[in-house]
Amino acid sequence: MIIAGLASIAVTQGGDAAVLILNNGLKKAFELIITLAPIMCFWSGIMEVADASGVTRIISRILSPVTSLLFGREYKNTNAMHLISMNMSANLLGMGNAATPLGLEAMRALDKINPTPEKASRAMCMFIVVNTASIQLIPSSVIALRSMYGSHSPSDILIPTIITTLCAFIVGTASAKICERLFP
Amino acid sequence: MNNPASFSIPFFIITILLFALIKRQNIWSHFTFGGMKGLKCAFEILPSLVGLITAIELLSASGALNAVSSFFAPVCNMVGIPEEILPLSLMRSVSGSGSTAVFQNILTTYTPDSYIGRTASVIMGSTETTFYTLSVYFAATRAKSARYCILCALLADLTGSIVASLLCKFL
Repeated sequence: MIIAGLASIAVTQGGDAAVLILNNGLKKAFELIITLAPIMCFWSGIMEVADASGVTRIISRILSPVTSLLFGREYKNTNAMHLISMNMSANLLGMGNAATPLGLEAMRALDKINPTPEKASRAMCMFIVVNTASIQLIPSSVIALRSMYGSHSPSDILIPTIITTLCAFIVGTASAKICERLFP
Repeated sequence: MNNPASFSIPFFIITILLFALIKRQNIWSHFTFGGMKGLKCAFEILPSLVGLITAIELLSASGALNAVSSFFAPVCNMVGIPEEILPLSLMRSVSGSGSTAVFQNILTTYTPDSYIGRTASVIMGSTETTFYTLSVYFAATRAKSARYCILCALLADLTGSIVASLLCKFL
């Protein structure tokens, strides 16, 4: 990807442009980690408190019908599954900032119990598909942008958005389930 | 702020802290211990993140998307995705800031209440920056191959675009 991208930019827009875009990418990665680090620090702290007080176990139990359907029963009551449940509830409530660090921790927990570390495990793939489909109930930033650009009914799109998200979620997770069987 | 989502974060945190108080846990030591774990995790994923984000940035700047977009236009017309939406649905999977720019462009050109504007809004609200999520999450693991994951995630994105285009025609 880097080779193809750099080569095509260098040819079409010149070498200077290529270096500029490269630096831009590096800056973005750095900014991301700088904004992410304190958020991760804070939410991991909250998560630890939630763990100690038993809140995570309650949330996992509430979500367990969905999670055991998606991930199978073998992960039930593991630390990874607690983190996955927390990430999913954060996503549902529209707390993107909290969902990312929880999701990263969940991936690390899944990585630790992955018998084949070189290859992504089934649960990892399913978890990422769940996250890319972003089951979000209220798309607040889109509604804000719509009203900024002079929409008469900015939240008109709420119901179609929820239906669309659900469809994408179902197709994504179902195809992941099928792929689990096809490419074991 | 009358947005119900904005209450969820304070509510969430307060609930957790109250629970901890009831169970008489040492909140501060748990919080700082967990915080250190999170911070370590953030810096451990930095190198892979730099590589992946740079690669995505190069891809979206290289104009490859425009080429792909014109290539797929006839196919998308067949499944009901309007041509004007196509750059957005492609950009949406690659870059958050990029797709927001494309989205704002659509809102000014077609107005938010038009068919194109509404479809674009639904796509923006219902899908996630797939490649970004993929790279950030995989950066936290030792896995070298993502297997079928990309395929399924892109299939979900495609479904999102098709369903959005169809729904907005009727609603």
